[in-house]
Amino acid sequence: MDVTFEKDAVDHVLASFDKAVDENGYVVDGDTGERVRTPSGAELEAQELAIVAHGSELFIDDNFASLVEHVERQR
Amino acid sequence: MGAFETLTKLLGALSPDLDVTFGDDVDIGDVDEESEVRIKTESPGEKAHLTGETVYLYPEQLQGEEYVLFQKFVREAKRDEGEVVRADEKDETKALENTETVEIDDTIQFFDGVISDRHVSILRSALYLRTLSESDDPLPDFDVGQKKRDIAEKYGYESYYMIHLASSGYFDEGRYFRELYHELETESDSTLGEYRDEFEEIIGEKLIGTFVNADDTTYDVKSDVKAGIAKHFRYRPPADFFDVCGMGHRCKVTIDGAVEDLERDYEEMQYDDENRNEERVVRIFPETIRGFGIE
Repeated sequence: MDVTFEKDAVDHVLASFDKAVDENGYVVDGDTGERVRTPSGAELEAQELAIVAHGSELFIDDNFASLVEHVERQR
Repeated sequence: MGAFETLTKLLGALSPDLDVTFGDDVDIGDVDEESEVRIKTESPGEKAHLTGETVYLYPEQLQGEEYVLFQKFVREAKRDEGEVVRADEKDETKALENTETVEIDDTIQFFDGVISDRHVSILRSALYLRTLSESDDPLPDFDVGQKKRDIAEKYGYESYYMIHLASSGYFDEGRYFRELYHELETESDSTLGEYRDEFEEIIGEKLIGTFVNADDTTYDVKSDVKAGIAKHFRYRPPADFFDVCGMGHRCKVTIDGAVEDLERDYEEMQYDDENRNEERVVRIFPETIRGFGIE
């Protein structure tokens, strides 16, 4: 089953993983309010979320280089 | 329970609701494990919509138990499929996953541990970009310029030069950066440190060539070459050449015009044609014009 989301539905996808968006547009943990980081350690703007990946729950941004890193990790 | 079962349950819970509409001649029984699901918010007052093989879910319209089921479905979809992907990144992610990586892996294996981790990361992205942009089956709307900006945003401005170099094959088997490593290997005991220093200076100062854009004029290219050769004299890289490279007919004409102008100004200048496939490459030997005003 191929499941995708559109940019305007990011908040709802994040909410499914107990994540929220702070007043500056960054993804935060729903419980602690701490900003969620991408695998390379960067804070993540909700509008840049490209992939929620399985494993230890990875949130990948839409930068081409981040997608390359993600694909390499999956190999 | 898997994602499909939860989706069925969610759609079943929505069915009696007057707000739910389905496409013509399609009913809930047409949803199966091969169906695509697209999550979006812009809804003409619907909670879900079924068109062909695609189920559209509008979480903004869901309430109470419906929303709980929706969230469960998203979590299970991630678990079942390994990931949930933004729709406009789907094709690119698939293309990256399907990229033939034998040559990329070979190059990364060579340079891993030889150049810094950051430079390896730039190189890897640059090689993927080269592979995707040279594909016989290109992605629609694949914006190479934007991908270059992405890489530079993540790893720094010098990414642009490495992307050009990787695109022109300077990291490939038998090409300059590997040959330099082998040369130093036979000459020196401290290959790695020495190589890394030389490499970083070449990349940081753009010492072995310039890459021409279709928008560049002959004057731009001539100025870039002179500036590049001046730097070449100043930094003395272990390369005896300075390449002028450009893809396509327009760049070829511009490069040829610039070289003609340079020949007029510096009669002693020696150069070779090093064209590679569709790429026009003029290899200038800077030492042949040392002492003629470019310092």
